[in-house]
Amino acid sequence: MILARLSYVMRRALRAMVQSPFGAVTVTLTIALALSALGACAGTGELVRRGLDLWAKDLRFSVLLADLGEGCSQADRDRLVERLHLAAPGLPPSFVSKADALRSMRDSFGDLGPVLDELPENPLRDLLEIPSEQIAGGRFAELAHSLQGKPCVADVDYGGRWLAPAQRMLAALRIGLVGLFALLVGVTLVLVSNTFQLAVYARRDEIDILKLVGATDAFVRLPFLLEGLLEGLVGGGMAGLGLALGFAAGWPRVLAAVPPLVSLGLQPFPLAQVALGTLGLGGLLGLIASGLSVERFLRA
Amino acid sequence: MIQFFHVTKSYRNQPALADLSLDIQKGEFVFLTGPSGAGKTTLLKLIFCAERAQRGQILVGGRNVTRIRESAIPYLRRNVGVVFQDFKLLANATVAENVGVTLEVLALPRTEVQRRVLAMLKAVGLEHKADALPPRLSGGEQQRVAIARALVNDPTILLADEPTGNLDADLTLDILTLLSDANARGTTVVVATHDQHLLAIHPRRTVVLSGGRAVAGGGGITSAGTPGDR
Repeated sequence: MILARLSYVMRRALRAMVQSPFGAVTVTLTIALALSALGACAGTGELVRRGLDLWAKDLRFSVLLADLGEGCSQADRDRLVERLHLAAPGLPPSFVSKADALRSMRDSFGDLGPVLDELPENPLRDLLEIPSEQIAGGRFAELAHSLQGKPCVADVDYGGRWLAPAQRMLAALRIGLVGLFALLVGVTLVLVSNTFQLAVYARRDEIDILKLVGATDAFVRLPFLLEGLLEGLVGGGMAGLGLALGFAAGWPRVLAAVPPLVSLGLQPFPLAQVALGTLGLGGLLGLIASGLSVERFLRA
Repeated sequence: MIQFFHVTKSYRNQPALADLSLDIQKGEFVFLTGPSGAGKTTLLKLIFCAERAQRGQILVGGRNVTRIRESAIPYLRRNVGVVFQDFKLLANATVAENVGVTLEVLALPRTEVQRRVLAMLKAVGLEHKADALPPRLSGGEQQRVAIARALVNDPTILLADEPTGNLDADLTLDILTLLSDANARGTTVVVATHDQHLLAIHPRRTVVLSGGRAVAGGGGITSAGTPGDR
């Protein structure tokens, strides 16, 4: 009995799509376009978030140390290490001598490194480093301020200076994206629902006949829901495929244009998740839009 | 089988049925006749719950349909076949599919649907047109498809609203024969018509409506609530 009903519902839904190709294509394309835009926004937002996370992991909070003897003793340095460890629990601060710092800088200069050998003296300072992620709540400025003027502290440097504002901006962007997402979903729902409304209206005679011979509302509703689901899935699939092709073509160019992305080890666009998302959201959009339209008709 | 007790139905304060009482027995063949606007179609619509009465009670198969829940109406309609003057067929579905829709609603297996549809089409003489689309059929053939659709699930009641209104005399006779055959098999048949020729060639109990009242043939209970003529 269930199989018989499912088979009938499937036949009716497919027939409706074949008999009203204009409506089916309109619904499918509307969903595909909307989800392409949504998928691109969501994927790009996710890329930015991952990039920021990777950057944040790479950042170091550095305390540049005054040379020993310039009002700075080894005991002062040891106290500073303890103080930093207390302020940023986790791995103990690592000491980098100015000689190591210069070596590291020389290495990072590559072919130009030997230029540094010409310096009359090492201009760098010894330093203490802790990973920025160890500083709770990203309170870099607070920690830097608390260290100012302390013995042995010549200066404080933290790349995190830009991290907090960037993260705040990302959070704001995310709220904006969620708003845009909701708006786009709403607009798509209205457009698709109105297209379905026309399809339902065009088939009002069929609905009347079905009800005349004893069809329940659920029986009338099901083929429309299935039609919406199928068209939504096709639209969502098209959007996923479009995004996949777009990013397959575009991602190497982005990497070529922004080399730091390569050194960050940023994974490419989260295609699988976005494609699954567009597929699922497409199906859901089609289902809700068709449900709203047929419900409006049945309640009228 | 069908009983109306002091039923009133108005459209925008214009009474379509006024304090109508009527009794139709199981297995009867009844004509409803009267001028346009007499309330024939409204009476049929009240039986299959396409309309609701404002006053009075209607029993269909012992069930009070004036108090029936919306969700129960489809199940009532599965026992009531309906035929209209304008056939109400699905233009883009084949004859077999049009007839089968009544059985699809019941979620019968496809093979069973096909078996019963073919038997029904044979009974109405349209087995050779199973794959045709309704617009390619003549008026008489279309009406036979509509009757086949109404009868394919063996309803206890068959309602026909001006079923021969668009047909010539020969086809009218064909349709009347189909309705009589259904009645002979035990189906209660109610036919609304203003075609006096139909009443003459097939004399059966006739309820005459006028101004929303049964002026003759109400049977059992008249509009005044007393036994009427048969």
